[in-house]
Amino acid sequence: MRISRFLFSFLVAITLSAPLYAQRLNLELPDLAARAAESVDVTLDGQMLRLASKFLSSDDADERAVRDMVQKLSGIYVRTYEFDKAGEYDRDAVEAIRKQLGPSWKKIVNIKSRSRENVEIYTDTRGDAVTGLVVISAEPKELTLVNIVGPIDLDRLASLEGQFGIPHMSKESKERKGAGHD
Amino acid sequence: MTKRALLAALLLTLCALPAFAGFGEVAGMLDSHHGLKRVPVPGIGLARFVVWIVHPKGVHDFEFATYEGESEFSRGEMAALVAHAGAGYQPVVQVRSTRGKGEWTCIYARPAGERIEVLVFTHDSEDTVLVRAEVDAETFAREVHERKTLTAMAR
Repeated sequence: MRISRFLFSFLVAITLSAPLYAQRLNLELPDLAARAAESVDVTLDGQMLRLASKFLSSDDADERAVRDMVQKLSGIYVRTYEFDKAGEYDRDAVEAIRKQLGPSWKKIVNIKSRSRENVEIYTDTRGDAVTGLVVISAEPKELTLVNIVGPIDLDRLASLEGQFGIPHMSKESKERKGAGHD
Repeated sequence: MTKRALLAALLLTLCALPAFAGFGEVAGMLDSHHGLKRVPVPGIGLARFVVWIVHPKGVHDFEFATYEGESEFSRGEMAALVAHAGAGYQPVVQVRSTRGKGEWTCIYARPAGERIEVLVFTHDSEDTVLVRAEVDAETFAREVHERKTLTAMAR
């Protein structure tokens, strides 16, 4: 009797301690890293993010909102693999990433192109809150994976582009960067 | 007399510049790496003293070591490098390029009060540079994204 009560308590404790936030995904793709002409790994955990976000102004309302969001994040992880030739990597390599997404993950963006970039964005939603995000951007010569862990304000998400190692991904942003205005 | 006292204070400060844990260990590891030879940099103490006072581009302190010689680093050796750096250092940015001379750029970081202590390692087949710097949040965030201040300095 005592043992079953203990087991029940243990089970309840484990259930209650289940993470409120999405877990960090394993973005490592060693085969691609070995074959890529250039690979970039950015790993910023919560403590580093909180320190790094201090430069965002508390006077400017937008920057303050971004800072508040960043300070609540558990981590930002980015992997970029660049190849010299188009088609040098198998676009299905990212299946290893998709397999890690549990039932709480929903695909919110899916852009497919045979010759240009494919973009998939997944969010981990718990109740009304978005607690994790994955971006898979597969271009013919470049693969970018972004994993943001923690509560995310989707309205503020675009402002993270170009900061904390998150690459410029929107068309406008890339054009600005290409023109040297960034 | 005042000038002499100031000069003495300056010399004392330069002689007493601390070598931080982490930097020395990694530099020692590089000293023994096959093919690398450390190149002495004259005037580094004075430059460091100036940085302490002026804080250019958000850098509050720095140390660096440069090496010449053809050498290669595997991913395993890069992992060993961060292990040598000591407690608290985390790999924040790792860039590996097989184009041209085969390059590595790695930024390791750990909190240092309100600032961030970074260890920047850049390597190509001919030159290797190790920089330790204490930087403010803005410089750190910029470095993570663009790698323009410390990494450029190392290059």
